[in-house]
Amino acid sequence: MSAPAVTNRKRLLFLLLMISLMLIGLIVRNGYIQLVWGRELQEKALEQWTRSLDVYPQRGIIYDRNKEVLAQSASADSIAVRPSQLADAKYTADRLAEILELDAEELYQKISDTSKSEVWVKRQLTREESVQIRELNIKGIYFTEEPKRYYPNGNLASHILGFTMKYAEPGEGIKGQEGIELYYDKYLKGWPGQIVMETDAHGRETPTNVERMIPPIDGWNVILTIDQAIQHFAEKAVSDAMEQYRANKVYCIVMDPNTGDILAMANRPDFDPNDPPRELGYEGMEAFVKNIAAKDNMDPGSTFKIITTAAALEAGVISRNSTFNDPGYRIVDGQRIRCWRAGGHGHQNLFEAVQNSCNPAFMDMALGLGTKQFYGYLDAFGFGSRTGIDIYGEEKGVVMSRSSVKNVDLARMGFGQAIAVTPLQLINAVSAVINGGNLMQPRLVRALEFDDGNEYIYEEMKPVKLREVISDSTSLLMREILESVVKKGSGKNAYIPGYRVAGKTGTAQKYSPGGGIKQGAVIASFIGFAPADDPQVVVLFMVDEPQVAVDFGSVVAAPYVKMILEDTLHYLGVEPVFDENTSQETKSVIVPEVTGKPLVEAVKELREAGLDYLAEQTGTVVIKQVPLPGAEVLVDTTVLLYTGNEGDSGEDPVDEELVTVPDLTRKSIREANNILTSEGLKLKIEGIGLAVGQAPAPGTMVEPGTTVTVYFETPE
Amino acid sequence: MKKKPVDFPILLTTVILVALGIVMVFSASYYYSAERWGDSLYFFKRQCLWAVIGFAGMFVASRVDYSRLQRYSRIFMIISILLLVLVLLIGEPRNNAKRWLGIGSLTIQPAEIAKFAIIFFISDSMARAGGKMKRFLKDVLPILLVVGMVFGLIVKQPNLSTAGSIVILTLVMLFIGGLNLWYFAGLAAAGAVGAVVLTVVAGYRLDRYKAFIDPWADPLKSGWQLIQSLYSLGSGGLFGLGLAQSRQKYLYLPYPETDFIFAIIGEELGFVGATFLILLFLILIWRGIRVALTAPDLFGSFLSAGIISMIAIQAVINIAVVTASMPPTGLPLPFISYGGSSLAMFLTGIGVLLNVSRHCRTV
Repeated sequence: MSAPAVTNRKRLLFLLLMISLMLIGLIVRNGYIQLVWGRELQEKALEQWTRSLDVYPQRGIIYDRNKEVLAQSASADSIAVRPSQLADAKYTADRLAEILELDAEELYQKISDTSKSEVWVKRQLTREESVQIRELNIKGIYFTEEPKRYYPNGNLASHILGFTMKYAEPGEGIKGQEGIELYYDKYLKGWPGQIVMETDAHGRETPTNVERMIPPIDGWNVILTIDQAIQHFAEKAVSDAMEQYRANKVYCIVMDPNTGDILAMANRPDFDPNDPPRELGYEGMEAFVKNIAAKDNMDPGSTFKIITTAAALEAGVISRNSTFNDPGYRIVDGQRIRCWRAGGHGHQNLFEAVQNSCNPAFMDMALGLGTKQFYGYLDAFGFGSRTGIDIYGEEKGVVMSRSSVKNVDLARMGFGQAIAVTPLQLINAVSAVINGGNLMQPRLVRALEFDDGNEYIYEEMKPVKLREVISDSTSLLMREILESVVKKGSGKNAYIPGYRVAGKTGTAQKYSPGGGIKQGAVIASFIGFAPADDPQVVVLFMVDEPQVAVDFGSVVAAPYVKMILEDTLHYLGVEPVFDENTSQETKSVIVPEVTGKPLVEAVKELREAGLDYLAEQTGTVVIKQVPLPGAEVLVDTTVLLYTGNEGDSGEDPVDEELVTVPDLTRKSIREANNILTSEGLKLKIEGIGLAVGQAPAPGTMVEPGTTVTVYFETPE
Repeated sequence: MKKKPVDFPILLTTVILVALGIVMVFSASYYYSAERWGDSLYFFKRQCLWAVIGFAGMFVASRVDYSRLQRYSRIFMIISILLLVLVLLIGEPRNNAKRWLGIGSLTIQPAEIAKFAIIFFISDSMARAGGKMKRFLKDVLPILLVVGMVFGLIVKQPNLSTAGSIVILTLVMLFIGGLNLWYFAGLAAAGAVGAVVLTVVAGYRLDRYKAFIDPWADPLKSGWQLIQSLYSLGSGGLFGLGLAQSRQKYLYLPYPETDFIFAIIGEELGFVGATFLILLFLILIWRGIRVALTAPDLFGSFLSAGIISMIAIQAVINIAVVTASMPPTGLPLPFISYGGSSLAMFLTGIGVLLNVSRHCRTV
């Protein structure tokens, strides 16, 4: 035997060289993959390893100005099934179908389709359904909290609040679709969080999985300028008017003239934001959900004469002592324009002209101002432009272009024709006339509030003064004139004993779609405020096409303004004063204590005391009353009764039974969240991993909604 | 002749490789194992048992004078061919292939045995030819015929990867044996043509090739395995996610304990760990070639070269596949991948190599 020859040895060395080169080549190749390409690969890998569940924040609450809840979110569970994780799809389908009253066969088809990673079974379960399914404890069933929006007062302030819609995908939360819900959506909605967990290729949690939760941030609460009680007064009034006059539409705005705060805004027709009439389609729904007080353009009629008068006084065209002569018409540009009263009002002073709502007097004022000055005041009072209120889709009104205005148009505008305004523009301009001359930006929101239990932020919105339109002295004179309208003129029906009420009636013609005057169809309106010497509240009430054949503004609208003003002034604690400015003394009474009493009994007691009442919500027991017991009020004052059912507490009509804090030891973040949610408790997370401690301790009795802090640690 | 001690670097490198392999098999398999067998230690226990058998084989082989084995080379070859026939007749079918023979609770792969029978057979033939391989009919043709038969039997299982690796092994050994370079070039060309033909004929092999060119063209099916392998390596980075920290083993990466174990090593131990492993192979191969260079006779030299070539071929192909450097084919990583026959045979082979090293001339 011989040792390897030279050839063999050379070739062995060559082989060693080749293998070495190949292995070094592989080290380089692997280095490229792991070090250079690695970042990109790892990112993609991470995507496939993890599954994230969105955790939705609580949508903010909408409060009235006194922090009474107008809209709030509660959550309901929705369930999804991951077909690949079900041990027994048939069993699961049968049990779920039984609890949820679904078709078992259909459900089985759905949840046995393993090509889908997740199948939604039902959204918004009831509490009982949710509990029963949790008790089944089947692996592969997942719960997601879905928020649901509640408007505890139903139709109340529906046009202001608007409503929300659900996203197409369950678990994505809800978004504002109209009103405040839409305008302040970005504040209300909050910021979603996430639970991230690691899974194997079949979507199951891996043994090394450490769940991470990025907690959601709840939405901001919105505090409106609306006062729920005043809103109730307004709602009651528009409802009554709608019914009594079988009207087309009714508008009502209640405002604080000094700040621009809308205290109430009620329209008919209206809707229940808990269940907007989506079945009517977009167009059909619009008739109910549109906030017509800000979105309808209409002829203002005689209420606009307030503006004409204020402008003419401010410009010096007329003065306190001006007189007017009304033969029953004026001829302008060869056209004969009649006064509403056949034969005219004859010789009148300024006060009488306004009390009589005498058309020729206002034609004189407008013509005296001339187009340039008159339009200057229109602009200054905000006609033809949006008021800037927090409502999307606000209308601007219609003002003729300045260049095409003829004298005849100007004269008509002077008494409220040939111009279209929104009810909101009108009340806002009148507010400027009576508040000392300042045009405010009307607003619905006075503050935004953030409160997640740890952090509290309160952002107050300051009233915005847009400009000074008329002087304080003109304003003072205007108040005096308008008070005389109620005392002596067409506004008598708005008179309230003990208060200095001022205002102006209005009756506007309606035009048919062709452009001609619509016979027999009018918009009756009244704008009133009190107290005349220091206005606190201004109310505009408009009834579209009341089915009555009378002097519209004064008969149809004024009594409602009176009603709202009276209730509101009592409610705001504006004391009646009986002096030469107001009428004879009226009997005052003490409000009896009716809280806690059955509604029937409470009503009886109030009647005996000489008081009127208005019951809100449908319960049998009075849980709250406004004004409070012991208040001294005038006879016939409306006492607002909030009702609930036996056992409800006065503070909060929600069920306040205590719940037991469950033991969360060794639970994952998601499990803990689910358990607490099902008990109506909130989770605050400290750390990551599995629960090792909690406060309050298990077994503690707490109120629903209490936050339980849970400490998590990553297991060794 | 006084015998020297065995080549210590070979022994040490082998022990480290096997130990690393067992740890990694456990780490890579326990999740799948629990899932598939309800026992997270299923693969681990079997791999340990086979390592014990393998080390026993290594010990015995290192004690038996290799030159006394030469005379059994042809019998060994015949037995191995018979086993290959037997497996086609009574083999246990798994995944549409008959590759395993059951012995009690353990199973063996006759193809793994055939690799070593071929090494002995070719070494013996070439040693007889005096390390020249000049006469094609007398020296080369018998080898080609035997290898051809073994190749055919293994392809029939089917197991083209192992069959292919035997062809490459044969070419490498003939090259070392001094085959005329023209003959060598001709054979290599024929082998290449054969590989192309077999690829085109079987559609699934063509798909694998396409998946290699662009795994993301069909990421959920043909490209899945390669993509998952790249995700593993990419996730590892420089130092890895740490031992047992692989995410890809949670059923994302197919065959994490066998053909793709290198990817899990890259993921858990990083570029540093993967490079360390490749360097261990490089040391082993270098020491093995050194044994072949200094062997006292041609049989010993060819035997050593054959054993070390087999290890090198499988290591290079396996790592090349995992790093998407060549079209996918299923060859285990020597000493590391789960697989009893392979581990036991390689360890026994190392035993033979160690025995040769005891007779080496001092350099």
